[in-house]
Amino acid sequence: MTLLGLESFIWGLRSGIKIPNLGRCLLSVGVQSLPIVSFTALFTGMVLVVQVGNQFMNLGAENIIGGVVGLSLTREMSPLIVAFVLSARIGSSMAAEIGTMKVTEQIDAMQILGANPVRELVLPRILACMIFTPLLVIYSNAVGIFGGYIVAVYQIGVNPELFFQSLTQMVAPHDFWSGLIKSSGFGFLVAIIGCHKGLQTQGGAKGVGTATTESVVLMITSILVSNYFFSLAFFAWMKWNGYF
Amino acid sequence: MSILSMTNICKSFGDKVILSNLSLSVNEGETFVILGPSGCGKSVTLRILTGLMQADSGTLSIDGKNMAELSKSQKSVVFRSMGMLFQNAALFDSMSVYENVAYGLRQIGTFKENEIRDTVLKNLSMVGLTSIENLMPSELSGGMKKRVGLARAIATRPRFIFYDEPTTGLDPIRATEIDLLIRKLQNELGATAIVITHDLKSALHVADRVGLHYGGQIQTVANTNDFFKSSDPAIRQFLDGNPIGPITA
Repeated sequence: MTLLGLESFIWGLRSGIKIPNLGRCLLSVGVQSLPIVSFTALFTGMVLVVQVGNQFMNLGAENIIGGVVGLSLTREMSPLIVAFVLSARIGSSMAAEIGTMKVTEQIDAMQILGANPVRELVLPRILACMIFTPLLVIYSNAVGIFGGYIVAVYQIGVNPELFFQSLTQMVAPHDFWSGLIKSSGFGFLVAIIGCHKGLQTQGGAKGVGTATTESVVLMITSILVSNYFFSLAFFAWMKWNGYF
Repeated sequence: MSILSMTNICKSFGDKVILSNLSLSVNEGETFVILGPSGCGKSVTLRILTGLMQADSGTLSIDGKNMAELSKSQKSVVFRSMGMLFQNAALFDSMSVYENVAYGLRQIGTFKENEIRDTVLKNLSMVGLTSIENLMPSELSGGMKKRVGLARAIATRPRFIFYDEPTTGLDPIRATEIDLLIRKLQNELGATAIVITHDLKSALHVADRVGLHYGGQIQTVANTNDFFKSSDPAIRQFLDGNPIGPITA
């Protein structure tokens, strides 16, 4: 998998990317993921306030609900939601599509016709995921905060001004950026694992099924593990810069 | 004159030996058919010839050049002079017929779009297909897929054309049509061709020379007429479909 990532990087530097291939991948990763990201982000923001809202109101901590929602979403929830959605929707489809191409000799045909499968198939998918995951996270942040706001204000009775005040006071730019940076890393993991598993597929339909399942399991595991290390790095950076 | 040769090629998968000191020599412009029982390693031989697989040992020479001594870019130039018809055509199922046939031309990168269009339509016409360029592979019959695969394989005018079981899965009429097409293209293009098959009728139709592949090697090579009249026990066993003889599973 490391070699595949390296080869993609080298192809990217050497001969650039084919724009039509990248365009197709961007459409698939980005635009077509918007509905499911909207849905999951909205309800995540809403349930977050359901969980913490009443407790905070009882403790008299109404004034930090917006901030808690904002911090949770920007630092952790949105990057993870988007990464999981992409794993299920895009990563699995990459493994299945490339796996099917492998077992039906389409990858071999590509090579015989003078094309490099890494340049044609892997590189555009990696770039599309790395570009669009942070954009989807920005969108997910906005939708999630909106969902939290609706529940906080109209269901729990939090003052709208207090919600936004705590949101803007507690969520710093570095919280926002940390989520975006790690989401780009998650996007890379989704694409490289999906493509790698696809290219390693052997056998017929069963092999494709196995590759797809294994890819999703590996994506989710590696996202969770890497999230821990991303967070460690982020807090080390905050400490280094004197934020606490 | 030999333009393509394999010398003492060995290939194993784990403990299973597939090719054991296989040697083969193909002359320029001829159609060489490799016959052999299923699972004897014909496709592995073809994959090594086309650079899709590396041999464990042995020498592959194409056009007088030892492939092991060439740089990666030199190898890719040699492999670009090859076209291949895959067993199930291996058409890109997300692309139209037009895009499939145009694919190799686009990889070369020097053709203008109108040149690509002319070449695609001309090649489709050569394999007897017209007005199907906008169809998707899923809309084609098995025989049509093979023809499109063939049009794609010859679009870049390769010097070597490889056919992997070109008639497998086709009815006898379509199979004969493909055989005649292979022969016709051979006459028109003059490329060197290697055909992998276990279809005797097909071999008889297209071959200049035939080799019998079993036991990890190409054991017997003869002109087509001599091959089919041969009294060699292995050839007779294969031609007669006799389960008892030198060729074992």
